[in-house]
Amino acid sequence: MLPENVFFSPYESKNPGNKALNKTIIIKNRLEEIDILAEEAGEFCNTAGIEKRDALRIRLILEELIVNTISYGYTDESEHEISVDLNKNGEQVEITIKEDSVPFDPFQAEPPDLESPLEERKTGGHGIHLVKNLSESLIYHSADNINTTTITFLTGKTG
Amino acid sequence: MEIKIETKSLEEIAQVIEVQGEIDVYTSPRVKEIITELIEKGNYNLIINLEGVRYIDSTGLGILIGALKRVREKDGCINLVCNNPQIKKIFNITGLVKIFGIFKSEEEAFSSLKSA
Repeated sequence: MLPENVFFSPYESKNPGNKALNKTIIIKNRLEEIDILAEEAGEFCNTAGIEKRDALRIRLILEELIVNTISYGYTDESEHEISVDLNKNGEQVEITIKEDSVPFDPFQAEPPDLESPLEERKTGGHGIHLVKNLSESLIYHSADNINTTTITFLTGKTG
Repeated sequence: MEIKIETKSLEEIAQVIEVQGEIDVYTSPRVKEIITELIEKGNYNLIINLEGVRYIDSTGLGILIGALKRVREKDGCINLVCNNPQIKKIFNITGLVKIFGIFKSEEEAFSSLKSA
């Protein structure tokens, strides 16, 4: 039986032989919930037949973005919900994250200087850089106190 | 998330930290604690064996960079052992291949460290 915070709905795509899958995961804004997210995203990838290499990359994209949101995005002590929608259609996985943290476009953040010597290297700032490099496209917008981040990921790519 | 960390001394020249599992926001503090303990005891030449690591996130990368900065201040070195293409891709994307020595085996990592 699926947990209460998971909605899993396989359906047939309009393209014959191209099975599409959708899963929505809702977690609270607590770092402990990342465990649930990783487990549920892994289950989605298994069901969707996504190979292990791509499943790990999808998990990394999700965790980097949501750990950032949970760690820095809330100014109050209240409980908030973060919704993650995973949708696989053909080779493409679309990830949509909706949350109500302080509006912040992670993709406008200054990239880390990868050429700088060790002494000048920052220990942080690599997460968003990883997300950008592993994704095909990234869209962020904020409206009516809801931030929506949409990432597309192409499975089966070499490299 | 599970992680297993073992340490051993190599000819009293280097300490090997063998990590198995996932290095993420949960387990990174444990990795940091072990590395910090070794550095505080005066071990500035470290080999971190990541052969058993199947996942690392930016928190884990930050721990490695922080540790390298600390040992370099004491003219030490950290060499990594890693053959996993997924983990190596993450090191490539983040440019860590330019600041860490990454080797195929503990033996190679140790030889490089001894000759440095």
